Amino acid sequence: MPQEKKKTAVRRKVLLVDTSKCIGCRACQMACKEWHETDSENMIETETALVDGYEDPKDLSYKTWIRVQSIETVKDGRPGWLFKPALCLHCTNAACLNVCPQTRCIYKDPKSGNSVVLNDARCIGCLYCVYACPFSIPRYNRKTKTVFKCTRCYDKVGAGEEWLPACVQACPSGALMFGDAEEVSAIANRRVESLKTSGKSEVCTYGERATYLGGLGVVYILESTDAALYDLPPSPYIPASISMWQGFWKPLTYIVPAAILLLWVLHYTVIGPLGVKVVEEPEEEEEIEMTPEEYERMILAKRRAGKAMQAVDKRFIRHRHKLPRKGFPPGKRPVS
Amino acid sequence: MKKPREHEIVEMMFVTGMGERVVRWLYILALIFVALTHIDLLFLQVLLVPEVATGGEKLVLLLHYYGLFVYALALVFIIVKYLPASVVFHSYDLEWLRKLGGYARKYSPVPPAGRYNAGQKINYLATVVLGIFYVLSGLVAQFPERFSADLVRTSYSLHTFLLVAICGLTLIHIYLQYIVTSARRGEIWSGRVPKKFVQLHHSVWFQQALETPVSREEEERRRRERLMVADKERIAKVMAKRKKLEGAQATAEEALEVEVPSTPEVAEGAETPAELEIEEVVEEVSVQEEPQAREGETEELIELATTGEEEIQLEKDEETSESEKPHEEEHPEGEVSQ
Repeated sequence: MPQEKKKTAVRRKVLLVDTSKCIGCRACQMACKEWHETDSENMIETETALVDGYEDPKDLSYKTWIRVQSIETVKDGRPGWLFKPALCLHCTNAACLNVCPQTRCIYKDPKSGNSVVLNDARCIGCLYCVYACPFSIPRYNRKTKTVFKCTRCYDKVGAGEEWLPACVQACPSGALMFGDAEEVSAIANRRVESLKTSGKSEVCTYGERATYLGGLGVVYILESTDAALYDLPPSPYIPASISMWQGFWKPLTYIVPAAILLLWVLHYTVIGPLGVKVVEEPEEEEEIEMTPEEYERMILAKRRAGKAMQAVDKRFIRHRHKLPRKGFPPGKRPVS
Repeated sequence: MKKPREHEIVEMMFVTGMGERVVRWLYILALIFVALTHIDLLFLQVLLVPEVATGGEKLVLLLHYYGLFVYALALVFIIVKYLPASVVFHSYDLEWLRKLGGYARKYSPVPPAGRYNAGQKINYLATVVLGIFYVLSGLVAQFPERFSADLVRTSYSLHTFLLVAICGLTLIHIYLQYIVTSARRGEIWSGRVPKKFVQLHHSVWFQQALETPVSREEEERRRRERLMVADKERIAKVMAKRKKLEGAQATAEEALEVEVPSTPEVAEGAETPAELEIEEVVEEVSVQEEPQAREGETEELIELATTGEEEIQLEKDEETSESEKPHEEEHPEGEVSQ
């Protein structure tokens, strides 16, 4: 029923990041760490010591899931900074989800609007997601050997409509917004148009279209059409090695053995075992009666001439209890 | 009881020794371990090795990494064991390949083959090449931080492709060698295979190396001769060195002409050949001097021998041609030669 489908349809939610409004206060960083109780960066552990510039910390890590980048640039002939909060982009066709071998470790949470959630408790530390992500977001904790990334506060958001991700709630300038995909799209486009009319011609959105891995769960409003300026890949894609790996070689792992087993059966039924045709029929000999001693002597005579017997009935060998049972004593290895 | 017909008696012979069989079983067990854990890592939703057995999904990755070393070791053994025989291809191997080894028809004339037929050689080479790349790509995937990201992504793909290739090759190998040819099943288990099978399917090897069965005594004699030749060469080198030290310009060829037992100083440098010489001389002498005493010593010989007892019984009962054979061939331990 189409109506029933609509009721249970997942409403995709998008987190809008308006870099034109970001003032670089880093309240989002603080709020994320407060909410998730992740530690601050250690100067010794990470190389964020001797911070020069406005970036602190210098990179995402297993405990820093959102970070404000400050990119030095020239604004109206004067030096300035572009502030861009960097976090997981929660792609619709997420590479990390595709690649993770673990069950229920990386998955899409429908309650919070299809956030791509990485549950570190189930992580086995294979690092496939770290190398599959086109934006290099997941980070590895060497001590616990697990991987961490932003969860878009799926547990908080999933609890009710009034809850927002921690970073969104803390942002003072309204650069971060969270809501249904259609509403946020409309807001973003209106903002872009208003910016364009006020003179900034190079403003664009990043991540809205489906060409960006099916549409990103975090959409940026950038003040430049050059996405590389913001350390974002201009046209992100899942590399061929990853897509071939998951899409082609992985299914072959069960297709090829099944095909070979099928070929086994076909070959055995159609062609059969390797056979050599016996052209001459063995002559019909009259049956000769032999005593066990004669049989034994015949067998031993054959053996002595250098041939081994397979069909020896060992019940009729005298002193068979002294026959060697297994293995060869040293010096008695047969000639091969 | 009825006398068995000639065609009902299947004569077997040894084709694989203990070392060969152990190496192959080690390889297949290592491969099974590594392949199952790899498939687990690809599809943890369908655990082939149960979670209980591996101690949890986190341990599967660790087991796969440990399995890499066992597999690499088995691969090294395989390379060392089979490389010399499998790299050389002859003209009859081409014929074997053209006829597809006789697997394509129900009854087909058997194409010639040496010790290993062309199919076995190709299987060996493919396994080795794929196995080496499997190990290398596995190492890159295990330590990705040391390599560039592009190399790591390529090696993920390559590693899975190689798993498919190696498993497919192994399945085909098992089928063609052990399911379709029932005669070969002894190769990996007991080591014994029907003689007629070897005669037909490895004809060149059979003609060259096996058609004339060599008795134990002959084999020992040939071994001792080989050792003596090797020792003679060694002695020649030692002599040449000594002559060089003394200042004389002696070549190794001149040194070879020197008789071994006649120079006592050489016996110091090479202990084994002189001892062997003495032993052989003593044996020959003792055997030549006492041919008739053999039958009187049956009781001592019964204690020494285990399988040779029946022979001694036979010697007592029948007149065999053994008395006509040269006495040097009789080994005092009177064992059954196969």
